[in-house]
Parts: sequence; C-alpha cells; structure tokens
Amino acid sequence: MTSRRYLKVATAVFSEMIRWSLWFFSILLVIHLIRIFWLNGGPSPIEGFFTFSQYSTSIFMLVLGIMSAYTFMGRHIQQGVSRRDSFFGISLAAIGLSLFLTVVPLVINGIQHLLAKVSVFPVALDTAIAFETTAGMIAAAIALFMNVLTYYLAGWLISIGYYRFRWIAGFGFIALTFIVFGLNDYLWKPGNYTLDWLPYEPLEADFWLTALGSAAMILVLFLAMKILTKRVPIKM
Amino acid sequence: MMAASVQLNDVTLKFKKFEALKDVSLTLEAGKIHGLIGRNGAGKTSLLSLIAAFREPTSGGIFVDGSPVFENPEKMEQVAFVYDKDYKEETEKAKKLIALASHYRPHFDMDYAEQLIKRFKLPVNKPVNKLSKGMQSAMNVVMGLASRAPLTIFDEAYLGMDAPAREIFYKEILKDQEEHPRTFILSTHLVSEMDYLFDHVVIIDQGQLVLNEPYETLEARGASVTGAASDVEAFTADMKHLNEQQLGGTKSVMVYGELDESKRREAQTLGLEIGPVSLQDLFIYLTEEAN
Repeated sequence: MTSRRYLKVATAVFSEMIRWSLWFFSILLVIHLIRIFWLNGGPSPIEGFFTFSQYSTSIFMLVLGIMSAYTFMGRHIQQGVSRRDSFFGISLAAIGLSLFLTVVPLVINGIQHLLAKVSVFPVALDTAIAFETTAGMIAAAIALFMNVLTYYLAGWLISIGYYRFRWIAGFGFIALTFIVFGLNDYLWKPGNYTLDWLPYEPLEADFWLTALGSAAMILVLFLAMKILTKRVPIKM
Repeated sequence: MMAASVQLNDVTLKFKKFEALKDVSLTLEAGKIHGLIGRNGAGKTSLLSLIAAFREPTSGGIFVDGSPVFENPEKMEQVAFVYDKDYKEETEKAKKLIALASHYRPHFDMDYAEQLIKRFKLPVNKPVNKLSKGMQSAMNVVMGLASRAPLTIFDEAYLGMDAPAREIFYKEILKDQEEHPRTFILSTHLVSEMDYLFDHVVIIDQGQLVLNEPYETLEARGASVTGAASDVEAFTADMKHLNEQQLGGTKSVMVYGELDESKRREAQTLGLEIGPVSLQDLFIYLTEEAN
C-alpha cells in the first residue's frame, strides 16, 4: 500500500490518456484512409501511417502535457496524494503512453504494408520511408518515442509554469519550451535546424549519439518537473 | 477508531504582505466534530488548506496524529478536504469523480456513497458543470462522507443546497459519526443552523484565534434571561447585552459573561428563566468586539 501510491496515480492517469488516444488514433486513421482512397492526388506514392501520424502525435502529446497540471496533478493531490507520488505517477503514465503512441503507428504501418502487397489500396503506399531515413525500424521507433515524450514534457512544463507562476511568468515557460523544441530539432531534424545560437554541426552521423543527447534532455526535463512540482501550492 | 487528531503550532500564513493567519496554535481532538466559525475572509479556508497540505505555512508546524502533514503520503491520504470548488470547466460525470475518490481513499465505502447519492437525488450521469450549484455541493458531500477519511473537512460544503438537502447533510454527519467515528471539521457561518452538531468550537477572526472550547463550556460564557420585560431589564441592567427580543410583555436577553450562583438564585426568585447563550450571538459579539 505505502509504496504503491504512485502506481495508483499512474493507472488513473494512463487509463484516462489511453481513452483520449484511442479517439485520437481513430480520427487520424479515418483522415489517413480518406487521403488514401479519395484524396490521393494521382499516381505518386503516399506516406504510410507511421510517417503520416508523427507530427500530429507530437502535437497530441503536447496538448496532453499542457493538461497535466490542471487536470491530473491538482485533481489527484486533492484526493490526498502527495506531490511526489503525483509526479512519479504522471511520469510513469507519460512514459507508458509514449510507448503506446509509438507502437500503435508501427502496427498500423505494418498492417498497411501487408495490405499494400495484396493491392488493397488504389495508390502506392510508401510504408518504409520512415525507416530508411534513420537506421531502420527500431531506430525510427526509438526516435518517435523520444520525440513524443519530449513534447509531453514540454507541455507539462508550460502547464506547471502557468499553474505555479500565473500568466506573465507562464509566457516565460512557453519561451523555454521553444528552446526545448529547438534542441529537439537540432538533435533529430538537422535539416530543419531552428536555433541560431548554436553552432551548426549536423549529428546525422551517429544515431546513438543523437539518442543519448535526447535522453539527456528528457532527463533534465523530468528533473525540472520534479523540482517545480515539489512544494507547489494547490489551486482551490 | 479511524480518527485523526490535528495540531497547529504557531502557524502563520502570509500572502505577500497580507497576513491570512497570525500565530495560530490549536489542538483538535480525534473523534470529535469541530465547528470552525469565522466571518467571510477570517482565514477559515486558509487554515483548512494548510491542514489538508494544499500549501505550506509561512512559519509554524501542522501535525496530523503527531506527524507533519505536508508531503506526508500516509497522512495526506487520511485528510479529505471538501470545499466549494469551481466546477465550471469540469466536463466529467459526477460518477467518475466519485470513482476517482474511491480509487484513492483507502476507507472509501461505495455502498454508502450510493446510499447518499439516492438520498440527495444526485444525477451522477450528468457532467458536473451541468449540475446545479446545490447538486455540485451534494456531490462534494457524498465524496467527503463516503471517503470515511479519519479527518474529514467540510469547508462551507453546503453552499447552494436547499434547506432539506442541508438537513440530510447534517443528519448524515451525526449518523455516520455514531457508526464510524472520525474527526470532522465543519467550517460555517450558518451558525444557528449547525451549532447542535459541534462537540468543540473554534472561532477565528482576522486570522487570529478568538475562541477554542468544548461546546458545553461555551454555555458558561453567557446566558439567556427570559421573563417579564421589566424584571429582565432590571436584572440585566449592568450586564453586556448580546441580543434582545421582546414579545408582548415577555423579554429575552442574551448576556455575555458568567452568571454566578447568587445571580442565578436571584433570577429564580424573580421568576426569570436562565438558559444557555446561543453560539450565533456569541459569535457575532466576539467577532464584532475584535473589530
């Protein structure tokens, strides 16, 4: 009982987020299918679900992150959960959801790949494109996992900024998340490099070095959240 | 008995320059119903939010069953704080919020919750922000009562409830206290309506403790004197009047201060009736005096 309180938070938050994710993926899949069957715009191949969903999935995670402090943290602490248990519970749920959001597009992409072989679709599907640009399927999955988790943490950062310091300082936290996005792009999308205060040295060469850099940033963000939620007064 | 005691040692809470609580020291015994009374802005909610570990005091210590409560998972779990929450943005159904409470509260009794839902006629399948104010309060009360938290705090939890619903609320507190004793703190300014619930009374005003006593000894703080108008007036001439009422030739006066044995005998010979002072009158007097 005593050591399991954060697991109670994790299961409550995770089940809530999964419910929204299922809606999210259903809608996204419908849009993708509409694009394949009706809005395919000619003979050129269309990207598979994995590539198609990446951007939206990150934004979805950002939104969930932004809801964290108000919808999850406050509500759970009001039910007698400590800030510490709330932090670990939400963190665990976010990691679990990131895994889910990585696996689902992969599986849908795989199914599309198999279906494409028996020519179910009216247009060619490029289900492999996401995996060629990095170092294969595992690497693409790791990259997506770290990206969505980073977006969640960025949202959480904005949300705790507003929750704790109100709206003027909240803007400062938004600025902070732009730096997070910039660093994230610097690591994962050397082509879309957006920070001009860092020397431009593409890291394309080594996937694992990039992953390591990304993991370090995720760790720093978790640490920041731990510190920011540690003694936060609860809004009534 | 699943009841928790509360202790505050020299607690001060400041918001920038405003002092919401000034050096409050207080012990609330386990297993009792404590009434926390104060005017609007007296610091009731600030005090309760500290006990519920919603925030930290600027200085001083807050203990539940002898342990500091802030960020103490064992203790926080035992404190249920029910207050007038803003549910404008709450689109979840009442059922779901009640389920969340049962997920976290170790002593939560779902059967009891369902019984209460029926008594309050709470539409649990409606989104909370679509419920009337009174029904939102009823939902809060259901969560607080059914939590059976060893320390259950109701901070003006009755807001928006109509008189019959408030009556159900008060009766349920007494009934459940008999079967499953715990510590209650009921904050209110509806004093005359709730005073019969209290075992112990705490009055605060402008962030300071004004009174902290068992309900029975409060009676000695004053008295009501009833009888023939002229006799009552003569008898209470040199006393502090809190309140007076007259009906025809009969007058009733609330006085402040203890009536000694000789005074009581004098009243008896005059044919005057001596009763206990009402908490409401005492509250008004004590908080006016401080101003």
